[in-house]
Parts: sequence; structure tokens; C-alpha cells
Amino acid sequence: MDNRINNFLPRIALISLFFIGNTVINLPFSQGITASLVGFAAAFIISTPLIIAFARYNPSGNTFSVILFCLYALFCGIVTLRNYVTFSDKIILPEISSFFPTLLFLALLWLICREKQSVLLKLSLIFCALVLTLIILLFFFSLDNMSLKALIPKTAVSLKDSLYQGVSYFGMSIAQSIVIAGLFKSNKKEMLSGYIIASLFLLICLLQSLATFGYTLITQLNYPYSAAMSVISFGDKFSRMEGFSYLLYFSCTLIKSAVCIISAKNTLTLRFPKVKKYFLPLVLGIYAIVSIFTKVFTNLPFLQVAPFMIIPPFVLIALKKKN
Amino acid sequence: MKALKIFSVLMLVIALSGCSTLTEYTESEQVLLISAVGIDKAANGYTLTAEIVTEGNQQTLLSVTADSIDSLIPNLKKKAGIPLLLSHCGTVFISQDFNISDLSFLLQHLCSLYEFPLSSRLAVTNNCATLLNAKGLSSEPKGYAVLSILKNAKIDSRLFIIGRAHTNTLPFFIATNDYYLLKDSLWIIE
Repeated sequence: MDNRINNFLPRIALISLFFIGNTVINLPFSQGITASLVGFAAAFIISTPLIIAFARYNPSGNTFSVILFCLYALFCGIVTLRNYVTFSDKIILPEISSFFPTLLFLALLWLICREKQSVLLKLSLIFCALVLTLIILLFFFSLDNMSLKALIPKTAVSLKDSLYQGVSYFGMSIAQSIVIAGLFKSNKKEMLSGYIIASLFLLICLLQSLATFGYTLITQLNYPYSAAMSVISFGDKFSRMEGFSYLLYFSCTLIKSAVCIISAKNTLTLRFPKVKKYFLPLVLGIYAIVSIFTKVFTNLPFLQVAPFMIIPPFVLIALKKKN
Repeated sequence: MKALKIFSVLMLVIALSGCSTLTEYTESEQVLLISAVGIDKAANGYTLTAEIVTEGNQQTLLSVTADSIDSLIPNLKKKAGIPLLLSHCGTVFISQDFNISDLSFLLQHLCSLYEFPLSSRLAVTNNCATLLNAKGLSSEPKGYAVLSILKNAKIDSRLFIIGRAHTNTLPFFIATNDYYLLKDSLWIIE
């Protein structure tokens, strides 16, 4: 049964959701906004060879590599969780503290991380179908609100802005995909397929946001894609579809966080089997403390977090080649 | 059993995503439903008049003043004393005295408010308080009545459309105590 489940489609679904992750909550990044399309295209096209390298990566190695990989995976997980909880705190449940949504999110992570990998893969397949259908449908419903002219920037696109945008997309989505190597050994075809699907759908979300609001107005919005859904309406009765974006964000961030935790757990417990029993409660406890009782990772400019997102994968690849 | 677990997880996820008023359940009498806001520019500041829909589709008005546009809604919240439901605002009115930078600032401010609907219509009038006080043809709140008029006239003055296109022409309503009327020509904001 597990062999039939661990097949091509669920893995691609999981990889796609991982790439979409919390990037969809934040795009487009407001600094250097006029270069967002250029930066996006550059990041995703140039990174294709890296994706293949990440697909071939094996997290087992010397102790330092194992610990670095584990810490990096957990770091990616906490940033993703914090991103969703901040969004939820501001938009979905602003009147209550972030304690309750964080607790429920962590409870779900606990359930998912304790189950077999096949459960995560089945869930990914269901969520992926839901997420991709929603993105396409809402894009078409939003066509009336969009303007192609709004996609043309009024000022020239600068190299600095393109670099900022490209680095942001790379750090938030692409670089973190090395974490998938701790979950299962994906082949080049699976990784590339998931990557291409995620890139296309992130591009759809980006185009929808930019074409709806234009480059000036979009910088005033904290969550442009969610705002783009809020202006969709059908007749007089149905309007404000941003609830669908909540489902989208929740699905992607839940899967990404689960992948990060399971990947860290698999890698660390292979080297140190004795930590297996305590790993999950310890990690979820730390996640709860960081999320609920600190303001860590909220409102930070992405460039401050970017080195911690981008440098470790390259260090891991370099260490592997050296060994 | 596995199917049941997966189903339970899915239900929990859907419930978590959808229940935006999980702990803030309130009766309709405990919130103020705002159907329209009108901002009049004066020499010494701005006056915001909000049209509130109460039981039986009755409307009342609430006014506040402030030195700057971004203080108006916080002042309104303080004066109201109970939570405001801005997410159903149909129309935003501005007075003829608004200039381009006022309009731009207003749009930026409204975009920064999570609860304010970006699909509200924007319209200019000679005096917002007069328009919101005027007798209408129907008992419908002015915010929604004007929204219908603009939709029927195929004038798209939604906030995000105005902001995106940097438009400086808006529909104009002439208002007296007895009536309000959409003029044929658009108002140019300078």
C-alpha cells in the first residue's frame, strides 16, 4: 500500500505546495515593486539548475552537516508558521490573541508529523488539487477587475530592484526546497515538475495582484493577493472572496511546516536515534514559545532574514561535495 | 479509520480557515453597520459623516472632525463606543474641495485599513453631510442607493480602480436637503 501511495503525483503535489508555501502570502514584495515580474522570472529561471542539485542532495553526512540541515529545516518551518500566524492575527482573527490559531496549527502539525509519510502525501494531493483549482478559478473570476495596462511600470526597471525581488523570491521559496531532501529522495523529474507547477501558479497570483491594483496602490496593501480576492464579486449577493485565500494560505503553510519538521526529525534521528522520542514535543514546544510569546520574525524586512535562508543550502551543498 | 482521520483533519482545516468571527460573535445591535462615509474638507480640517444602518433599515448619521484624514476613522470609532462594521461600506463621498493629494492620501489610508472594502464606490458631492441627510426616493441607505445608481450608469469608481488608474475624474452628485442627483458630467479633481 505504501509503495502505491509513494508515487509520482502525491510527491509532485507536496513539492508544489512547498514551493508555493508562505511566498503566496507575501507576494509581491513591496520594495522595488516595479521589478517584481522581472525579479520573479529571473529567480525562477536562473534557479532551475539549483533545483536539480537540491533534488540530488542527501542530508546524511558528517555531524555538522546533519545538525546544520536540521536547524535550517526547523528555521524554515518556524518562519513559515510565524508568517501564517501574523496574517491570521491581523486579518482572520484580529480580536483575539494569536495563541488560539497557533495552538490549533501546532495541534495539526502534531497529528500530521506523527503519521506515516503516506498520510502527508495523500493530504498534499488533496490540498494541491484544491489550491490549484482555487487559484485558477479565482483568476478567471477576477478578469473583470484586472487591467493589462497596470502591469506596465511607469518608471524604468532598475537592476537593484530586480536583484532585490529575485533574491526575495529565491530566499522565500527556492532556497528552502533543499529541506525536501530530508523527507524523501525525490528524483529530478519530480522536483522539476513540482517546481514548474508552483512557479506557474505563483506567477498567476502575482499577475492577478499586480493587474488588479497596479504598482502604486499595491505598495499600500499588506497582503495584496488576499486583497485582490476581496474585490471579486458576483452580482449583488456574492462578494469578498478573500476567505478562499485563507484556505489557500493555511494549506500551503501547513504542508510546508510539516515537511520542515518531518525532514529535520528524519535527518537528526538517523544520526542520533535516542532523540526520536523527544524531538516532536520539543520542537513544537519551541515553536509555540517563539510564535506566541515573542515578536520574532514579525515585521522584519526580508533582507534581514534572507542570509539565514539563502546561505545554508549553499554551505550544505559545498560540504557534501567536499566529503 | 485512516479515512476518518483524514476527513477530521480536512474539516478542522476548513473550519480554521473560515471562522473569522470565532470568538467575536456579536448581535447586530452591538455593532454599527456603516453603509456610507462622507468626508467634507474645511479650512481647519476634515469632517467625516458616517451613515449607520439600524434596525428596520433606518439610517442615522454620526459625525466627527479631525485635522487629518487618517484620524477621522479612529475618531469615529472612539465616538461610537461600540465596534464599527466598515466592511459593508457601499460608497465613500468626498467634497468638491478635495485636491489630488487629498484623494491620494485618502486612498492610501483606506487601503491600509484591513476591514475597509476596496470595492466601495467613490463619488464627489457639494456637501457630504447634506447628501447623507437628504431625502431619497427610497428608504434604502444612501451608500447602497448611490452604489446602485453608479452601477446602472455603468460608472466604475471603485476605490481600487481609481487608485490603480490615478484617475482624477469622479462621478458627481449634487445634493440639497430634498434630493440628490447624479450629474451627467464627471467632476475633475485638481
